[in-house]
Amino acid sequence: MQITEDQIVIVTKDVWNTVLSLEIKTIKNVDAGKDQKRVASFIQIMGNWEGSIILDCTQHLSKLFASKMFGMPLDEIRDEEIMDALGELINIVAGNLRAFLPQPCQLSLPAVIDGWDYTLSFPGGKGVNQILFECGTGQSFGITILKQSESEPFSKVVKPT
Amino acid sequence: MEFLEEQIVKVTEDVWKRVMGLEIKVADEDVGSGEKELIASFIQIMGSWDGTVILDCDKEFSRLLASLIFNMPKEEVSDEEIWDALGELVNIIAGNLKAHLPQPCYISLPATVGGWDYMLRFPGSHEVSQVVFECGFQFFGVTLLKQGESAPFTKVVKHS
Repeated sequence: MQITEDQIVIVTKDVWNTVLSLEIKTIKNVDAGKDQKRVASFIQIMGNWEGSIILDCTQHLSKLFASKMFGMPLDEIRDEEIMDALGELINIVAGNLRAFLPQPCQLSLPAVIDGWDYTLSFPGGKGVNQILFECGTGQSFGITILKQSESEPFSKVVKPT
Repeated sequence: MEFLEEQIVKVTEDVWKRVMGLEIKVADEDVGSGEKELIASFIQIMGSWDGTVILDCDKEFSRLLASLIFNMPKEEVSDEEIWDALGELVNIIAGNLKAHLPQPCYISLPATVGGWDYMLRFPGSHEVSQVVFECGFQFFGVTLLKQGESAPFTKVVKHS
């Protein structure tokens, strides 16, 4: 059994609408957010299905998400709120997507990475799905599903040009 | 004595000796101070006990570890081999520590982050143990986080 693109889209749209009151739509073209600080949060899944679910966006967009989630003005949002908000969003998305996976499976606590210059690598995970969304700000965010695999490890590189 | 500190020391010393033929000892130092690219590899534990095991060191040291694991010259070690090596090491450490935790619990796939400018944070997890080891004047750390509401564990890597 695999998580389908439709399931990712339905769950993510619902979470963004319910938690952040934001309407989002899928897009095809990648806004790489060049020369911007980027944030990635992820949850690991273990059990009858093993892999990871990653949420990834620019820090600018993550600040909007945090301000909506905590009901605070954008200019008062600190790194701590951004990281907590992204951790919470991926936790809700992963919790909903878990229902589509073979049971039993367990979710980890979230981890969040924020920075200008880093590589995030999952040596045992292969990217099987990536959906890009846009929420009216001209910036995109992605939800990526990795599945345990010995081939083609997934890496995400953030590097200033 | 911090939570599972004795087991962390025993398991890590054993893994370094058995897998890489390296002798290590507990040190009273910080990991990776100075202008160095830093790498952290971690495994998450879930089930009857929820937390994270983190192995962190500077990139040059991780290159040495990968060269010993894959039996190849240091200068031929690629980033992928470094990530694989650290992922494998933290996997063995976490697998051994799991036996000392309430069952059932499961360990995740490893994830690795490396670079010059990043912040790694685990919302909902706080540090319960950290042991720093010395291996030939190089330092690395093994940290254990546990689910909890107190100050979340955050690691900041930033160079001017």
